[in-house]
Amino acid sequence: MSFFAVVGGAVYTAANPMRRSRLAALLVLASELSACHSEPPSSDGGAPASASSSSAPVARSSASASAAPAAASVPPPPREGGALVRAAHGEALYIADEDRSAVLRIALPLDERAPIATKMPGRPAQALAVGDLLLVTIRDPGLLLVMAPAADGSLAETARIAVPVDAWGLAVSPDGKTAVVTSAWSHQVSVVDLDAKTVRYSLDVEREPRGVVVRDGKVAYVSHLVGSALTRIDLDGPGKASRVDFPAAPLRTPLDAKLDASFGFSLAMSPDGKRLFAARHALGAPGEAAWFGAPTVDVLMLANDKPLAPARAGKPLGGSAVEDKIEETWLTTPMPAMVQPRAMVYRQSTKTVLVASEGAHTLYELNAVAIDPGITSVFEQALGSSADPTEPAPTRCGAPSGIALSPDETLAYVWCRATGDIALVELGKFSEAASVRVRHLADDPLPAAAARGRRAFYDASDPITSGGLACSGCHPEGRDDGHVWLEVPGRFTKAPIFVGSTYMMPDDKKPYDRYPRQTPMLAGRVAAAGPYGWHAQNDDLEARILEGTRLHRWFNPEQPWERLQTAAKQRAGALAGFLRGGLVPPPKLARPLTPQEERGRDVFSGADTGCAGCHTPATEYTARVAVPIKSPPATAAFSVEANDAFKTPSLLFVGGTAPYYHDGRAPTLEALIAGNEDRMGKTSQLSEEDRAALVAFLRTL
Amino acid sequence: MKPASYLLLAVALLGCTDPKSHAAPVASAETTVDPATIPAEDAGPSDAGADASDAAAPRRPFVAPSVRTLDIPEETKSPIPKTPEWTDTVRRDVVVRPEYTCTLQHVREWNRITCDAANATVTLVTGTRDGTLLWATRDSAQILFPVRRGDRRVIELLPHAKLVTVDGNYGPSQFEQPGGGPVVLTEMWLEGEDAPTLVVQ
Repeated sequence: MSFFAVVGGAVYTAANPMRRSRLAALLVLASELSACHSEPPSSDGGAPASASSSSAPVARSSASASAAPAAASVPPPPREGGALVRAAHGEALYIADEDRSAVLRIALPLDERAPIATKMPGRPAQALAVGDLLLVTIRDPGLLLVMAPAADGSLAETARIAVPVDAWGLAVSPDGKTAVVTSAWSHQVSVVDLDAKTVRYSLDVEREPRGVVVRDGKVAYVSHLVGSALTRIDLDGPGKASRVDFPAAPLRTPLDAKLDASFGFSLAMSPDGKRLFAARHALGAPGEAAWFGAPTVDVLMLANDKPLAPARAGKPLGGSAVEDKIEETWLTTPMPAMVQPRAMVYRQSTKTVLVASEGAHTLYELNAVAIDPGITSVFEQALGSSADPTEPAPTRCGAPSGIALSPDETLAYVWCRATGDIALVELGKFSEAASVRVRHLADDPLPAAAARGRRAFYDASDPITSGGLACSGCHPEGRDDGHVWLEVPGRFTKAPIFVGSTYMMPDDKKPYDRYPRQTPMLAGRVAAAGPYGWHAQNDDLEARILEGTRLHRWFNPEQPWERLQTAAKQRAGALAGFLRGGLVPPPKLARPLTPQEERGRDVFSGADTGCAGCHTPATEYTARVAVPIKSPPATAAFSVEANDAFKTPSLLFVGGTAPYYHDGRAPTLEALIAGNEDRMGKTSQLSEEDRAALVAFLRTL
Repeated sequence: MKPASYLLLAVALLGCTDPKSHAAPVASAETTVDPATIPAEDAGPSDAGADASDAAAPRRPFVAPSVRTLDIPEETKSPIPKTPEWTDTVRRDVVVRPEYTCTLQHVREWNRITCDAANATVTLVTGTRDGTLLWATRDSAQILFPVRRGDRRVIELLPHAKLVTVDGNYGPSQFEQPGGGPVVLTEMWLEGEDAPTLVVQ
C-alpha cells in the first residue's frame, strides 16, 4: 500500500486519478517535483527532467495563486491573545496599544476609516475576542477586562477581574469558559472562570511568564521571557504548575550541551493539539552573528512534553569528500534572520507559523511540519521602511509586535508598535511581488528625539548601534534576559568586547581574561545623571550607551570606531531619551510594608549591616560610586578582575531580576544573602529571621 | 543581516511505484526555483509616503510549504538492500537545484537519497543513528537510512567549493566554483502517526 497525505490534511491514493485531479491546484502550489524515472535513466527520461526544469524561473500562474486559499476551510478563531487580534466575526481588528493606554478598533476591510480608541484603566498588553466579547489584560493595575463593543465601535466594560499585577498573556479554553492569564512581573499565572468572572486560583511560577496556550481545557503551557523551560499548568482542581525542560535550538547546539533562551513572548499550538511552537532567542546558538545567539522556533510534542528535535549526542556521523574526519559540528545551514521573534500565529491552511520579527521588521513564514521550522523560511516579507535615509531605524512599520489572520488566512495584519502602523500582507499569492499596505494609525506620544530612540531601541538592522540584535533583544521592554555575558579583550583592538558563551571565544587570544557581565535591567534604573558602567567609568548615560555600542559591535579595523562616533553619539542621545521617557518600570508595591518587611528595612538600614551606606535609598538605592569588593574565586568560565571596584548597582526592582551577582551564581535573593560572606556589607551575623526579613524588604523595592 | 540565499524545496512523491509505467518523466516549470532570479539583497518594501500604500518585493519568492508523507514502509527490520534492488527501483527527484539534483529511492523500509553534489560533506546532525549511512565522493553524496516507527533524523548536506580547470585561448586556467546551497533533510515517524514524514529544506 502506498498513500500520501498532503499539507491540507487530505489523503489520497496515487492510483486514484480523480482524487489527484481535485487536488491539482494545491499540488501545483506545492512546488512539487513530479519527475520519476528508473535507474539507469533512459534516453528520454530521468536526467532531462531536472535539466529542463532547473533553468526555469519562478513562475506561478494567477490561477494557481487564487486557487490555494479556496482549498482551505475556514479555521476556528484563535484562542490565544495578542497585541493585535481579529474580532470573532472578522468585522474588525483590535490593538492593545500599550503606549497610549488604549484599545484601538480598526474596521475591516482596512481603509481610511479612523481607528476608534477606547481608553483603558492601564496599559493593555493583549486582547482576545471570545464570541461577541473582547478580553483585555491590563498590566498595572493587574486586570482582566471583559469588554463589549458598542454600536459606535467603542468598547464598554462589562466586567473587571483583578489578577496579579502586570497581567500580560491571555488564552481561553475551547469552550470559552476559562481564561488563563500570565502576570509577568508578579510571576504568577491565574485561571479565571469567565462565567462567574472570578479568579479560581493563581499559581507562582518562574519569572516573567508571557505567552500562554490552553491545549484542551485541562492543560495550559506558558513561556517565559527568561529561560528556556516552559511551565505546564494542570488546570483541574486547585491547579498545579510544573516545569517542562525545553532547551533552545537543539540543532544548533554543541554536542551534549543545552542552550538557554530569552525573549519567550509567544507560543502557538497546532490545531490538533499535538505540537507547541515556542518562538524565542537561543542564547549562545551560532548564527550569522554568532556572539549573541540566534532566533529559533522550537517544537514541543504535547503527547509527552518532549522536544520534537532529538538532543544531539555521541560521535559525529557522516561522510565528506573534502575532510578526512567529520568534526563535531552543528547545523550550519543559515537560518532566517528573524531577530527578536515577538509574535507568532499558526496558519492552519498551510501548516505554517507566521513570525513577526521585531528587530528585522519582517514577517516570516515557517514550515510547521518540520522538526525545526526555523531551518529555513518559506516566505519572508519585509515590512519596515524609512522615508528618510538619515534615519537609522524604520519610520514606517517598525517593531512588528502582533499578528492576526483574516478568517480565510489569506491576509495577515501586523501591528508595528514603534511607529504606530498596521501592515496588511497578502499571503498565498505565491508570486514574487507580494502586496503590502502600511497604514499609520497613531503618532508616538513621546517627544521626537525619544520617539527616534524608541525606533532605534527595537531595530536590529542599524549597522552602528545594533548590527543584528537590537537593544530590546537583551533588554526586552527594558528588563533583562538573565544572561551572563563575557567581557574579553577585543580581537582587533585593545578595547574589550562581549561574547555570549565560553565556546565562542575569539580563538587567537587564548588564554585571556573573561569577566562576567550579567545583562542589567534598564527600565526605571536610568534616571540618574551618572555615572554608569560596571566600574563607574562612564560619566553619563549617553557615554555608557556609546561604550555599550562598542562592546557589542566588535568594530574591526575596516570599521574604525573613530569614524562612527558622530553617528553613534546621535543615536545614543535618542536612545537615552527613550530609556528615560519611554521605558515603563515594573509596577511598584501598592500597599504598606508588612511587619516582616519593616523588620527587613530596619536590618537594611542598620549600621551593623551597612547595606544603606552604598545602596543609598534616596538615590535609587545606589551611591553611584565604585566600591572595592572581594571578588569570588575564579571559575572555569570567569576570571577574577584586577579592578575590584564596582559601581554599586541600584536595588530598585531587584526582586525580579534573578539570578544575582555579576556571574549569576546566586539563583535567588536568599542564596545571595547566604553566600555573601560579608563581601557586600556585613550579613554573616544575621539570624535566619533577619535574613528572611531582609529578603522580604528587598523584594518591595 | 543577510537574507537567506537558499530555498525550501518540497518533497513530492506522486506514487511512481512502478518504474516501467513511468518511463517518461514529468517535467514541470513549477518545480524549481532558479536562484539567479532572486535578488541577493533587497531593501524591503518601498516607501510611498505617509498614507496607506502598496509596497512590493519580498526578499525572495514564495516556495509553498509542502511536505509529503513517505510511502508507508513495511514495518520490518530487513537488511540493507543489495545493489540490484536499487537498480530496479524508481528514482524520484526530491531536490532540483542549478548546482545539483537529489533523487530518492526506497526499497522496503530503506530510503536512499543520491545527490550529484560535488565535494560535499553530509552529516547526521541529530537523531536515530541506527542504520544511517552517509558518504560523499568528489562527484556525489549518498544518504541511506531505514524508516521505522519512532525514528527522527536531521541530516545536512553541505556542498563545498571546488577548483575547476578550463581551457582558454591562453591555455588552461583554474577557478573556484561555489559548491551550492545546503540541504537539510528531516525524517520522522512519530508514535501515533500513520506514516513517516520527510521534509527537505
